[in-house]
Amino acid sequence: MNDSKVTINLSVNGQDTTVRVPSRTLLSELLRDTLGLTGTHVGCDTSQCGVCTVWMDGLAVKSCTILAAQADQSAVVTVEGLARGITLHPVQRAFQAEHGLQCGFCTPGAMMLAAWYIQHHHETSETAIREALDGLICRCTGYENIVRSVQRALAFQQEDETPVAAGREEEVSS
Amino acid sequence: MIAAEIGYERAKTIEEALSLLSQDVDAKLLSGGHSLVPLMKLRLAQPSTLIDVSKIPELRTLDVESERITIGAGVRYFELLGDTRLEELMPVIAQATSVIADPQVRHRGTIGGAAVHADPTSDLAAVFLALEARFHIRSAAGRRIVPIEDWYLAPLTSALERDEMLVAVEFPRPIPRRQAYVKFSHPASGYALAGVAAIMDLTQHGLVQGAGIAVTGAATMPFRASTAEAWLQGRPLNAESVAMAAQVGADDGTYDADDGQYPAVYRKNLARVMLARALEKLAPQ
Repeated sequence: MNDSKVTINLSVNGQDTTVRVPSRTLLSELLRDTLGLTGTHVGCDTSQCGVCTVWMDGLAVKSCTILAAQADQSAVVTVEGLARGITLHPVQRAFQAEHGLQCGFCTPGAMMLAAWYIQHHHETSETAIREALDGLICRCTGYENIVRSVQRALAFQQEDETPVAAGREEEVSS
Repeated sequence: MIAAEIGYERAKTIEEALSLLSQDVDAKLLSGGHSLVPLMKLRLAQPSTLIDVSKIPELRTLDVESERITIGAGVRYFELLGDTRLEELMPVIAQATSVIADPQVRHRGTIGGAAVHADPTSDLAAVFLALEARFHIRSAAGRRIVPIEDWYLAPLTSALERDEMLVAVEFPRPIPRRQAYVKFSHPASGYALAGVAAIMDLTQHGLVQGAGIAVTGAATMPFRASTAEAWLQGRPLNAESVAMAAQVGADDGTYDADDGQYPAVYRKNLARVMLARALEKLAPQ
């Protein structure tokens, strides 16, 4: 008979963790129920809506469709891990500035998907952003502000990357 | 939705996975899990044990040669999009893969999973058919290669036996230069209501040579538009020949799935329209 429990070693938001859970446990359940990280929301639980999106080894994935056991030896980042201390991630600042949420339920997934997008893509067109956001369903249909938030996050990210001196020079020349 | 209790084993090698698989008739192989895990939650699948093969390095290899391309079954969709040489020789793979589901699913789903799940609306099914894919199979008892014409048995049923494992997908033919995948998506689910993969070369006089044309989503099963391929051979590719090929190509499918929302007559017409659009993309500009 198979052992129906499994031991998993993984890093969550930079912290090494060892847990022993039933094999059927989903990554979303491990995060929320075992580790108490309830920032990750579960919307449809059928891998349609993307609200449960987290990062696994740097890739945006739907945590409701991955077994916790599959995350063994992986580095997982949840919405709780986006900010650096009290410094908000560009995506968090952008969602605040552009009011990229209505009810807020999809926001953790929206921000994790957006954060993955701005790290790997620099295309600011609405078409490209909407294409990337295909993996997220906002039940308020508040996509306009979410798209604007992603555009703003790309701008924030660029500002952050621009050395202060260079930024001043640009200001002077313009 | 909670899956039934399961056992979980992580295989480090193909041999280990096959040995585990041969010992338990109710075990199932797990890689990306984006078809299997949803089915387990619905309890449409209740494997006794999952044998996780996602960390077996041999299944993650990509061997790109101009005459023959072999892709490990565990290569994920997003990895098919990032390989320059593959993109150059087989742009149709990237074209089809880039419209599968959404970014998160493409980070997990694998080419092998798409093949063995045998969803009749799979985008890659059209690519497998048009390019005459060969499926490299292993079991504890040995190896075999299944050609594409023997692969799809029924919706969600491939030729893979329960103690077997798909290890790689091979595209053996010399790869024609002109390639296209076009898709008409279901507005909500994103699945293909009709997707067409078409490949061919044109001679220096502009005549069609060695066309491979296949349709997914529209008919009961993905199918190869063999009549269209034969009809186009040696003909120029123009508005007239495209329209005729699309017509006879759509006739190659069997459309008995009348689901009310999308009646068979609609699906067949959509297959014809998408066949024409794919072929138009291959025509000289």
